[in-house]
Amino acid sequence: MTRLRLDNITGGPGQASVLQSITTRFGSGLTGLVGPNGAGKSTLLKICMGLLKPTHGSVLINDQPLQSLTLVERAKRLAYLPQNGPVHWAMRVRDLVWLGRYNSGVDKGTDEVAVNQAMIDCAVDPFAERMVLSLSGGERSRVLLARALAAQTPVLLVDEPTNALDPAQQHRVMNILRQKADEGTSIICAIHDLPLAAKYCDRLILLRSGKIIEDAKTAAVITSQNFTDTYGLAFDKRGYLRDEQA
Amino acid sequence: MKPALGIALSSLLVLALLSLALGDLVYSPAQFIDAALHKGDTARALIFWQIRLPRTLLAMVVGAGLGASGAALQGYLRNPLADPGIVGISATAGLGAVAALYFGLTAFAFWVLPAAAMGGAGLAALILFFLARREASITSVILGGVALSSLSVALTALMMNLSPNPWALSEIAYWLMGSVADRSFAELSFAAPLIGVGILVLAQTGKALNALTLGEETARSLGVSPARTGRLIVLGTLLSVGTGVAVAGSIGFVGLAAPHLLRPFLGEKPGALILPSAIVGALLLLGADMLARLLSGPGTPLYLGVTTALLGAPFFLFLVTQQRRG
Repeated sequence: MTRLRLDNITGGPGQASVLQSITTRFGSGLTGLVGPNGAGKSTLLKICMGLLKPTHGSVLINDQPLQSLTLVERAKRLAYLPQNGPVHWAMRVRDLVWLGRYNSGVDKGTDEVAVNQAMIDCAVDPFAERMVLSLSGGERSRVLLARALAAQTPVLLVDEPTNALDPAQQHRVMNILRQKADEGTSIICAIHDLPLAAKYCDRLILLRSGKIIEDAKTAAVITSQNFTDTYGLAFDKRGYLRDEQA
Repeated sequence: MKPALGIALSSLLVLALLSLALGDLVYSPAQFIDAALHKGDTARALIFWQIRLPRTLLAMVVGAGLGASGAALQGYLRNPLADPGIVGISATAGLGAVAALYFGLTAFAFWVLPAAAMGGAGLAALILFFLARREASITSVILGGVALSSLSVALTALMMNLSPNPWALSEIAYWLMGSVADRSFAELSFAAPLIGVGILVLAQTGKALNALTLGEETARSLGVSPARTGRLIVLGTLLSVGTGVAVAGSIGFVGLAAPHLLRPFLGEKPGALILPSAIVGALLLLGADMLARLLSGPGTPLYLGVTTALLGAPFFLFLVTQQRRG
């Protein structure tokens, strides 16, 4: 079942056209967006969320053009977690996760259940009453993820959720995404860490210079040839990555 | 209700009663009740009804507008240093009023000066509306506000510079220092409804400001339009602060300080601070006005803008050092 479709998308921030003629569709499962810095991963997520307007092409959510939906209607269908999202004021964890229900349009009891479930899923319920600014980096990113999960949207867009986390925290966050994908949420996740992507994603889209180089099941994308072509890296005899150009 | 709010509201009530009872003529409780009921000594009743009551109410109303706007702007700009002056509404309102004084238009009717001030602030609001039309517009609004503010201050200085005579100059200078003295129910009935609507408009933005805590992109993904929020805040500030400047002159500091005084008690969630900041703003301005009144010597009135900054700034500095230590 296709939930989100990109049709011949070209565009990027400002005058720049980072993405060029991107056509793809997303159903259930966890899709990883991989590729070097500047490949267009974050731009793709922002265009999916409607935060950037493509210069050409259209985004369709459940066959409805995203542009025809109001901000509130979009928020009911898609949730977005930016990379290193700011928290400007000292806020309690619970209050921050509640922001995920901002436009839920349902009764407070249902909201409460969703907030509590998201906090349990992300294991942030033990410090629900603490201030976000007092948390460690790993705890804080799980709180922000809980905010995005609390919305309970069919599609979740996540930008580099494991950035700046220690390995244990990285696996913790990816496990949460994996679990949500198994429960039926369509998750599109920009990710730099290829071993993590290989372990957790069902499907990978490899982007380079704004184009889709490869779009297939994870195992088919993680190939030695793709590493060399995309990052200029290759495996040496001992199995370590080394720089081809060096 | 949180205890801090209860304390603020009851302090406001006590201060308002004191403001009505104290002055050159101090009222005993019996005289106070007599004057309030229009009985007994008519001079006392006259002072109570015609001088002290409008002054007290006006100080509260103007302070409430400044406090609410300060809280909303700090939330919107996500900057604890923001105050109503930052978007240029105060300075342009001041410019409008000074232009009316400079061209001698204020002699025609009492409403000319407030109308000119509102005209200046309205023009600034239109420009800010234009700047806020796009998404991702918060920086444009703040930069536009700073530019409008600087331009208005320069034009105000130019008018003082070219002032035809020293009397006109002193009239402008005194007006700019801010005051709620010698105001009547005419000013109050002009200002109170506009400021009241302004505060309600600002309060409408509370939820959106909470979402903006997570940045503009996340807020938009949650269904909040930063552009719409910006326009509501410009409109609310025009009504709540522009009107305040129009009837009482430029009064700094209250809008900056009111939300800061509340954060230790109510937390930092921006939406939860707007209406409480209106109460604390009213409290601060009424307190500053009482001090200005009680400390003024005969013939040398202390101006409200002077006392708010003179007494408020050191207190604020103390508060900041305490918070940093804690």
